Amino acid sequence: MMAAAGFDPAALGLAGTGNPDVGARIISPSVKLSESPAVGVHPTFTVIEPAEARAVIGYGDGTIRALGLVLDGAQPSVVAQVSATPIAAAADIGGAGVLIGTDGGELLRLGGSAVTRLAETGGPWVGEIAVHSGKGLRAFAAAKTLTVLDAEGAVVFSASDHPSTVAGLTFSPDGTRIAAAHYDGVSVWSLTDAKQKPVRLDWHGSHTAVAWSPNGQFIVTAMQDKEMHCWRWKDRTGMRMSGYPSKIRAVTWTADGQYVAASGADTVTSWDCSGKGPSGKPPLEFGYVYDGVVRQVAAHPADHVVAGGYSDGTVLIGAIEQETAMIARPASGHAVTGLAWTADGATLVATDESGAVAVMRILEPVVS
Amino acid sequence: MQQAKVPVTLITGYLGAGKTTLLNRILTEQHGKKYAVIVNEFGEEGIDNDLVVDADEEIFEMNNGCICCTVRGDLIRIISTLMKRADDFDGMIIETTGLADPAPVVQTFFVDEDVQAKVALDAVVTVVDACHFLDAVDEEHELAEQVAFADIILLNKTDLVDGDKLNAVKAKISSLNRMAKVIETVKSQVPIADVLDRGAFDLSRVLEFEPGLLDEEDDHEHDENIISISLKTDNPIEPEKFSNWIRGFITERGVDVLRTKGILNLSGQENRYVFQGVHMVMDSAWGAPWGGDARSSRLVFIGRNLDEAELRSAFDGCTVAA
Ligand SMILES: [Zn+2]
Ligand SMILES: [Zn+2]
Repeated sequence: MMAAAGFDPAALGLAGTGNPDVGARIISPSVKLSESPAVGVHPTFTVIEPAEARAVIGYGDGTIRALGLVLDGAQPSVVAQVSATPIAAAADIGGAGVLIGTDGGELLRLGGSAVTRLAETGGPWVGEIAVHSGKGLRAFAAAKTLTVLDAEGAVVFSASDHPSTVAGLTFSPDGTRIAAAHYDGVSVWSLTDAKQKPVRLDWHGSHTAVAWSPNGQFIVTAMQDKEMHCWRWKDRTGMRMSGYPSKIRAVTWTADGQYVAASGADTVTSWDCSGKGPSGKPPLEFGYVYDGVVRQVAAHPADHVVAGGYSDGTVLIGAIEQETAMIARPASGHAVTGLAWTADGATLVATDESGAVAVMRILEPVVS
Repeated sequence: MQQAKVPVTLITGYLGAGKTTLLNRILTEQHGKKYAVIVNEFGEEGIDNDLVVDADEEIFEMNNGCICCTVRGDLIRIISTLMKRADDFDGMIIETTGLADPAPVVQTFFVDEDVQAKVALDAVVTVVDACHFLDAVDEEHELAEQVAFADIILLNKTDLVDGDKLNAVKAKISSLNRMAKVIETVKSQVPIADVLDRGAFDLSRVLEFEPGLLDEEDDHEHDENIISISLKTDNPIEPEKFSNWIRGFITERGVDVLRTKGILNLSGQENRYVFQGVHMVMDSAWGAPWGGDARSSRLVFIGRNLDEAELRSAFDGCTVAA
């Protein structure tokens, strides 16, 4: 039942030093970059808040900073200070406000510059957050417990039956289910029938992130074992995507659900999930960077385009099918920690370990 | 810009052996330094530190199907998050539960990239209760493993035992682990410099290690219990032969081999070749030049189901002369 999709970077000549001829065609830059000075603190999350037209960034010193999406090179300004380390975040329902989870066990909501507390665990870190705007639902996970709140903040669902700490959360596109990644697989819970047992998608090992394809057909996880796993939701068939030289920190789906892209190699790798899925098809690649490994990926909100953030601070924007990329931000020497697109796909925000924020405006469409 | 990695000290030992006393001693004597303390259980004794993080001991097998390749998922999360804080830590101290297997903790520092990038395991310190050790060690395999993994063994409560018993305890410890430094203490009173900043996993400091060679003829043939075996040869080692043998051995027997350390005199090389390993995870580098020093190769294995005669002949088979 398990089929290896067959990605082997070594076989492709991409492991180690890499092959600059593969996926290395850089198309001419058509991006305007504005770079803020380093803050000197490590960012912990990077989120776009559409309602305020700003990027909201959490830092390891507990500051929450915001930056308007204009190209003025300003440093992000402190809008709030929280008492513990903010470790997870997502734009709140309707893109207004930002939900923040902390290692103090709190689920907070930032609205403007005001912070309110939505939930408190009494200890366990709030390490995962997901929001479904259409259904008006907010989910968070702390240790083995997953909790779903409605727009008023009332608990509408809760489940603790997970084999380990929940390390990833994703709503189904229609908001009727929620999937939690953990050790040895994923638990998919029904939000419409509380009596239903969860659907368990099993694969041995520690799953550290999960993303449901926007077309509802696939659930993909990133694993501690330097690989990804992908299940076809319809029949639960699992597929293994292995051979990555480093840990996969991020996975991202294109808006139509055709491609899933991942970090972890020295190029951005995108798997074609059309038809029966990625089985047997090698991934498409772009953006080989000398001495850099992809740390973050974020799919464009409309096109078959993905932004990749590298361990040397480079940000590339690439067209998946053309296997070409443009440099949106040159190497800063500090690993990229976060990437986020605005909903219109015209602006990309990146943060790196120095705390610097890069705002990139796309001047021409990447794909014609 | 290569930042110095934050040193992490792992304190293991049975409940009541004196781990928390040692921890508090470090924290009070190293006053003015900033430590993050990660504990698995809050003991009766409080911990005198600003930052104490509760760990939940999630042991994750890696997907290669090998049961010795395990990491601690909770430590990956905790350490990655701590290193994003603005605080500049002088160090981290992890205190495990009395029953914890040290292997997944130790391997986390060599397997996970995020942890490896920011921190370095400095030493495994195992606190042993001289009074109860002999009774407990045969019953509880974790206790033997904690001693086997140690770089430093605090032989504590020595005031509560007589000379004969103390010698018996020391003999047992040395059969389990021939490379650890054993420090006899009362109430975990030890000069802090003896337990911190030891660089026990730092290859550039492997040279400081002197395996205790026992003169006894091998009296444990293929022992199921944990034993330590040290090997020595003056004949130069043929690099290819050695590399083929050690790779094969570790792949096949990684589950049983808890720790390995070696300094090799490779034929035709001016520098020492040093390596160390934890189960299947191996790390090696060139060490200092031999210069005028007498050249010899030393190897220590700590593990179970080890056959000393077999290992000795395999090691001898890696020499140029063989
Ligand atoms: Zn193994
Ligand atoms: Zn064990």
